[in-house]
Order: sequence, then C-alpha cells, then structure tokens
Amino acid sequence: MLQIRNFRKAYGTFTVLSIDELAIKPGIFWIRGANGSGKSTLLKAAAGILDFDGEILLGGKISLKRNPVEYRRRVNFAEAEPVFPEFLTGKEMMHLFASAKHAPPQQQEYLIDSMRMHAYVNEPLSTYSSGMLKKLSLALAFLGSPEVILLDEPLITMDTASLQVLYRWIEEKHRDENVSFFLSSHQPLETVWTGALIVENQTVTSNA
Amino acid sequence: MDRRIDRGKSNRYIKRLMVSPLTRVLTKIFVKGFYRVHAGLLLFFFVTLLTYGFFINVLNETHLSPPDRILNNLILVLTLLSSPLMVIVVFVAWFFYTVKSWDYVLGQMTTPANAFLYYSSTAMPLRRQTGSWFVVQMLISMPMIVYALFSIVVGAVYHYYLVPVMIVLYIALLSGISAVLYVRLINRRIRSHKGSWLGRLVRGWDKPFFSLFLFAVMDKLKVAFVVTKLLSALAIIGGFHILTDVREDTRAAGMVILGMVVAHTLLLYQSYRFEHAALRFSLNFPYRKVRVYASWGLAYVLLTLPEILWLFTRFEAALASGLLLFHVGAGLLVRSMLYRTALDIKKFIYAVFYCFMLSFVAIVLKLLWPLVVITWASSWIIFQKYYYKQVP
Repeated sequence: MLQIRNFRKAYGTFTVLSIDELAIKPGIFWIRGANGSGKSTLLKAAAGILDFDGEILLGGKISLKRNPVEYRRRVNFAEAEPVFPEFLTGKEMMHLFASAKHAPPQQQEYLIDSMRMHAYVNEPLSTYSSGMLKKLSLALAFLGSPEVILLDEPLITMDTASLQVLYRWIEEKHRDENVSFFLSSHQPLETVWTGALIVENQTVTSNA
Repeated sequence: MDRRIDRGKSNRYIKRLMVSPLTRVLTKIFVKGFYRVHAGLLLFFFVTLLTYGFFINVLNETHLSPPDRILNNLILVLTLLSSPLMVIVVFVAWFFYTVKSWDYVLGQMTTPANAFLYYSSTAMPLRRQTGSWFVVQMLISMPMIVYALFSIVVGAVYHYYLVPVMIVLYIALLSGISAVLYVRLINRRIRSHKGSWLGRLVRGWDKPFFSLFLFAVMDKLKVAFVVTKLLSALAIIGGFHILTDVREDTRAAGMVILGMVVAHTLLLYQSYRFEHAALRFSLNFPYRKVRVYASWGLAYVLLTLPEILWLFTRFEAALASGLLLFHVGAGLLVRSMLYRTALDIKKFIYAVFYCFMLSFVAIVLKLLWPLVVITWASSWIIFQKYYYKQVP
C-alpha cells in the first residue's frame, strides 16, 4: 500500500531518518519511538508537508513527487500541535478542508455531531482550547475519501470521551472503507492495530 | 556631595537595568525580532533618505561643487528640523513608527512561545518591569535616536537648540508611554482574542483559499497594511516628483510601479509568514501548483486594488494593462523568492535588492516589456521549483 524508497531527511548535516526500502501493507499502524526519533518527520514527509530525498508511493503507482495532486487527494494528515488561522471558525475550517478534499456535505455534520463540537464550531479558533483545536484537526483529517490517514500524536490533549469517539471513527473507516491509519503515540493504542513501525537509530523498521 | 551620590545611584540603576535578565530576554525576543521583520522597511527609508540627500537637484543650483552639494543636501535634510512644519511631520512619522512597534510587540507578546512572560516577568516589581520595557522601546527606537543625535550635532553647529531638546524629550516620552502600555497589558490577565471588529463583520462570509491572507490583514495586519499604503502613495507621488523630466515616458511609469512593488515587500513577506505559520496544512491539499500560484496572484491584485485603479485612471488602457502585468509579475516574483529564502530576512532583502537593481537598469534601458516577460517567467519557475521544498 505505502512504499518508501531511498528515503533520506536531514536537517543541515544531521540525518534524522534514512530508509532504504520499506513496504507497508494496508492496516492500522502504531508508530513508536523516543522523543526526537523522527516520528513526526516521517508522518509530515508522508503527508507531503516536508521535503525529503527519495520516493514515497501509494498503491505502487501514485508517487508523492510525480503525482502530487492525486497523492494528496488520497492521503490526509493531522498534526500533533495544529496551527490554523485564528480568525477562522471551526465551521469555516471544515468548509475549507471539505472543498479541498472533495468531501460529501453530510460528512461534516456527522463529524461535528459525533465529536460533540456543536457548541463552539461557529466560534473563531482563537477562543479554542488546545483540546478543542485537536478535536477539530482530527475531524478535518477524516474529510473526503482518503485511502490513508496519518495522525501525529492523536491522543494528546484529548478527553476520555473524545478518545473513544476517535477510536470509533478509526474502526469504522478501516472496516467500511479499508482506510489505513498511521498513528504516532507514546501511549498504547486502545484499538485493534495491525502492526507497529519502530522509529529508532535514524531509520524505521516494521514488525507487521 | 549629595548630588554625586544621587548620580552614582542612578548610574548604578541604569547599569543594573541594562544587564538585568528581564531586559536581556525582552531584548532578544522583541528588539531582535522587530529589526528582523522590519529590516526591509528601514532599509527602504534609509536608502530613500540617502538618495534624497545625495541626488536631489536644487533648482538653478550651479555654484556648488559636487562634494559641497552633497554636504549641503545632507545638512538640508538634517536641518529640516529647523522648520516647525517639518518638525511636526517628523514627529507624526515617529509616532506612526512607535505605533507600528506596538503592533509588533503586542502581537509577539500573545504568541504561545512568549506566554511565559505573563507568569514570570510579572512577579518583578512594576518599576523594574517598566524600566526593562523602557530600555526595549529605546532600542526599538534606535533609528530615531540616531537621527536625533545627528540633529543635536547639526543643531549645535548651526545654533538650533530648541528642536534637539524637543526631540530628546519626545523620544523619551514615546518610550515611556510604550513601556507603561506594555507593563499594563502584560500584568492584565490574558483575554481570549475574539477577533477584530472587521473580522467580526465578515464572520459569515465565504472564505476561499485565495482570500485567507486578506482576512488575516483585516484581523491582525491593519497597521502593516496602512504603512504599506502610505509607502506606496509615497512611491507614486515621490516617483513622479523626482522624475519630472521623463514624466510621460514609460520609464517613469515603470519606475513608479517598481517603487510600488518595493513598498509592498513588507506585506508580501507577511503573507509568506502567514502561509508558513498558519496555512502549513495546505501543503497536504490536492491543489495544483498553478492554482496556488494564481491564488497568491489574485490576493496580491486585491491587496493592491487602489493602486491598480489609479493605474487605469493615470494611463491609457493599453499602457495601464502592460503596467498591471509588470506590477503583478514583479509582486509574484518577490513572493516566489520567499519560498527559496524562507523567513531569513537578510537573504530576502538581498534578493529583493538585486532584483530591484536589475529591474531598475532594465527600465532605464527601455526594456520594460522584456522585463515583464522575465518577471512572470522567473516567478513561476521559482515558485514551482520551491513550493513543495519549503523550509519548515
């Protein structure tokens, strides 16, 4: 499903990650690694947000670099600490992402309802707490018809009830639409996961 | 004796203030940051002042040798302060400079990275806080202080004593007011930012991707926008004033457009800063590069709509259309360069300066139309090469 070839990401002269060849089958993956090991770098690169040397392919033929639009239509991402324009409301962010990712209209309502965001979704983001912002960013990552969803530290700042909603979304998407997930976290996941990707010693290994 | 002890005490107080940990931290955050962000603007003013001083032609002036003329002009610039009207103009300009610095400092105060100041610096006595903030504002006002020192020297030589004293008092007053403002705000509990009145007015509007920076301007960049528009007006009026002998020439028009684009450099930098910080997620959007490029072009057109309307009232339609192409192409080139230089203001200023010089030469050589093609082509090439390679 996701193939990484001759991947190298360096900051200055320091190589953060180097992956010669890694093929990952569809599933739900837990990305593990110590602080600063390169988990976020891997996810941001796979989301097309961070530049890198090498190649990432989706389904063996859609290249992140050669087919940037097709790739980004199929891969969604939520940052660990989301930053959005403060003057926009949650609803406006949903509209922006929905139009970019070609999401059906009823999808937004379902996500807002199930994550119980109704009370504040029409307020500007400057009034949101970090937990509220996190819930919004996770909802945005589920918009459209992605094949892969990358979630960087999705468990942080979330309350228990919202975490259960997130796990339900993941399970539904994977079961009904065969969407693959990559979740980085220091805490164990409370959902069924296919395998783990271990990020250490500047590289990634899979135990799936 | 008592006076000497008092002076010793106040010297020790000033020394302690200058090296206090709070002053150091505030200087690192706010003073360095202010100059990093506004270096382009300050350089633009400095070059304008210097150009005016060196190259202004005094009507029918033939009796002075070139070095004397330069000296004469510099003294003229400096002794503008001898005219009451000019004193008012300069004081108003400094007031706007101070307001601009408030805009920057208050904006930076509320960023998450600086939120620690609300629960650390506030534990110090108010007098020490005010002293540190006063030093910060004085350092931010350094260009005014340098100008003041010049005028004191010129004032002493040419026996103008009142104005230099007024200048010193005015700078101290502005810095004092600023320090009190900063201390009051930082000691107040953080209030959630509910957006500006303009932001609230457009709450229900549809906000497509290309328009986001325009709303960001309404929300937090109003002062930068007003300063840019003043500079732009200055470029238009000043340009035609200086270029009297070629006023109806396309060269004059080209140079005025070039001045307009340079005046918008600060706003273009801010637009990249906004994209870099708050629209980072959009790199994951399945948008074609040409769409993103066109979006920023459209945003620039909307930001410079008053200037564009002026173009079409000042020149005939064909020439105005050509100038519009140059204006947008050059604006997009400046913006595209930011994908290469990122937020490194020094690199960015150098890049803008080289482009400005090359464009200036091309315009003088009557190569405006080839220049239009080159600006569009280079802006697109740089954009499409570096858009996905942005430095995090």
